[in-house]
Amino acid sequence: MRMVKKWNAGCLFAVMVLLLFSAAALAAPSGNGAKTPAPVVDKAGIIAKDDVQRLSERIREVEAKHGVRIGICVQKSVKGSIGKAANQLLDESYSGGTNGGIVLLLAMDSRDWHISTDNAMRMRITDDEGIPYVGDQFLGQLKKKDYAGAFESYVNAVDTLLVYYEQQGKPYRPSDEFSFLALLLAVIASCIGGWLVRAGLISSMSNVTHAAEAGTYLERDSVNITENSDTFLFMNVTRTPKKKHKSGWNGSGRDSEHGGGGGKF
Amino acid sequence: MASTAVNYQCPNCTAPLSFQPGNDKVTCEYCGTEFETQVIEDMFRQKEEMAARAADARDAKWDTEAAGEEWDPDEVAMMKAFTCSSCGAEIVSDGNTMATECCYCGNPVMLPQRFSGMIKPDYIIPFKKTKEEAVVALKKFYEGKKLLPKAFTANNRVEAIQAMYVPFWFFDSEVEAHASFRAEKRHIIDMPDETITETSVYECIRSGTMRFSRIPVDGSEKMDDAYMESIEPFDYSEMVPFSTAYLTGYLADKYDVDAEASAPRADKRVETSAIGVLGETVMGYDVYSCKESAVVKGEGKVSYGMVPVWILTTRYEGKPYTFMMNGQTGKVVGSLPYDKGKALLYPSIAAFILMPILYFLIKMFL
Repeated sequence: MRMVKKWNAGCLFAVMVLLLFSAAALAAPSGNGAKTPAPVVDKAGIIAKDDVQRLSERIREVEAKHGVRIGICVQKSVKGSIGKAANQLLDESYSGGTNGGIVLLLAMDSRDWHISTDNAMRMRITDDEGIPYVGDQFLGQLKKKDYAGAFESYVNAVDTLLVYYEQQGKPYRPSDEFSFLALLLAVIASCIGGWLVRAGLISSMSNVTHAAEAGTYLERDSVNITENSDTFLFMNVTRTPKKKHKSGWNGSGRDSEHGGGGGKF
Repeated sequence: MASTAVNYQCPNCTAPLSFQPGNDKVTCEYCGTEFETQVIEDMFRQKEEMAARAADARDAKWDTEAAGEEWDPDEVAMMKAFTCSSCGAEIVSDGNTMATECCYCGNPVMLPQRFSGMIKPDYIIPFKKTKEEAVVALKKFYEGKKLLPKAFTANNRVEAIQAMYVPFWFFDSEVEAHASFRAEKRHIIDMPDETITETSVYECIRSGTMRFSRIPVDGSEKMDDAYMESIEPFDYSEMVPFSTAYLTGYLADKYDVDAEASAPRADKRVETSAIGVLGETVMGYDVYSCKESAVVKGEGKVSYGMVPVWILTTRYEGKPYTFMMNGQTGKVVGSLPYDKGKALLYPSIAAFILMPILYFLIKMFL
């Protein structure tokens, strides 16, 4: 009987240890990089388990395809700078990828988002153009509270940029892409420019013009100002909102080891 | 036959006399004898009076019925005949011509009869630029004109060059000007989320007196006003009291637009400048504009003078092109023809160069 009790206690202990390990694996960034944390950590409970499962599979697929580490972590709250917290999370839980790592951290109370990349990933997804591109892909869904959709878009965007890098040998830059609108505006502006050049050249062919004033014949010494009064009438105040960067973009958290950027959603 | 014109001939060798640009004296080109302008003026005054009387007599005998066909009365009024005292040729000239040259023998001719009934000019600005300088200046005027047709310069021959003293009125004006300006001072406050612009609006009243001297307005109906205003300014320090001696060898017109008719052109310019002078005193503001103004002109003096102008005419594709040069300063004015092909080519090149630059600039802001 005592043997059975001992066996039961052993089994219970083993289950508890197993549970503890499982919890640790799913937990927020704690521990060291040697562990393999879950690709998706939702501490705010905003996405369904099925979605977490589906996203995790998709992330693992992309990770395997490109030899990188990708993470998504949703926190109820983040103390201090979200950029630094994302960097710490990347270093502790999503580093070690052959071709770098990237993590998306959300703070639900302040509605901040931040993507952190290590230097290897920074070469593939640049701070100035790659990160804003990734942000643009999911931010609309994030604002509409379609969190699962937003995270999937995030993973797809990272996949797209990594594929581009592997195929082209250089990071993706949206500014390199052809823009029909920019071409149309450039054509219109250059036509106006050409027309102005034409008008200027034609006007240079003649210097015959009526004299509008007689300043040359003014005797400067004779000028005598007899009345000089300035009266304040009124004041107009106009307020012009500053054009904010889309997504409330900021690059806080960047340092010599980390790239990325973020904003509000 | 009584001579109706006076040739300015050298008393020494009887060669035609002409005033040389840049000289104070009248020089005979043939024997080199120099004469003071006053001496020449006195010498020929009597001849001019006689010529004028002879011309009056001829005018009295002007019989349009005797001509092959009837002259239009306006044409009769416009054209006058005179006899060259050198070769005897009968020449018809414009009614306003005071000095010209005989088209047959080339002698410079004064038409003193034309001086009667009009006021004598107070001043004259003598020619300083020669015919050769005028041609060189015109060629220089062509330089750098990208749209100038090749054929225009390649086959360019100056068809006619005339040196003419153009009658000008010079207006001295003392004015009292009043103006009300609306001025704005802007203060921009840069906030994190917005830019606040505070615009303080002021009314600035300014009054003052000032004097303008010798605003030139041409008194010739024939001369294009825009051309005459374009050849300004003149250096009045070289303006001298009028002497007919300066007219020798040049065409000279008498005024056919009197001072009263010319005054509004000077008044308009004075008003613009007077308001501009008051505007210059509106200081310390970012922007200002004149809302109301009044310019009261006092009694002004008007003087009458002759101004030197070179008139150069060339022809391209059957169309005459006239250029004028200030005979004192050498400033050339005129309108050149332009090649329509070049006028399309150069802007197109500019547009093609601009397009990629603008494309990338626009993409940066999109």
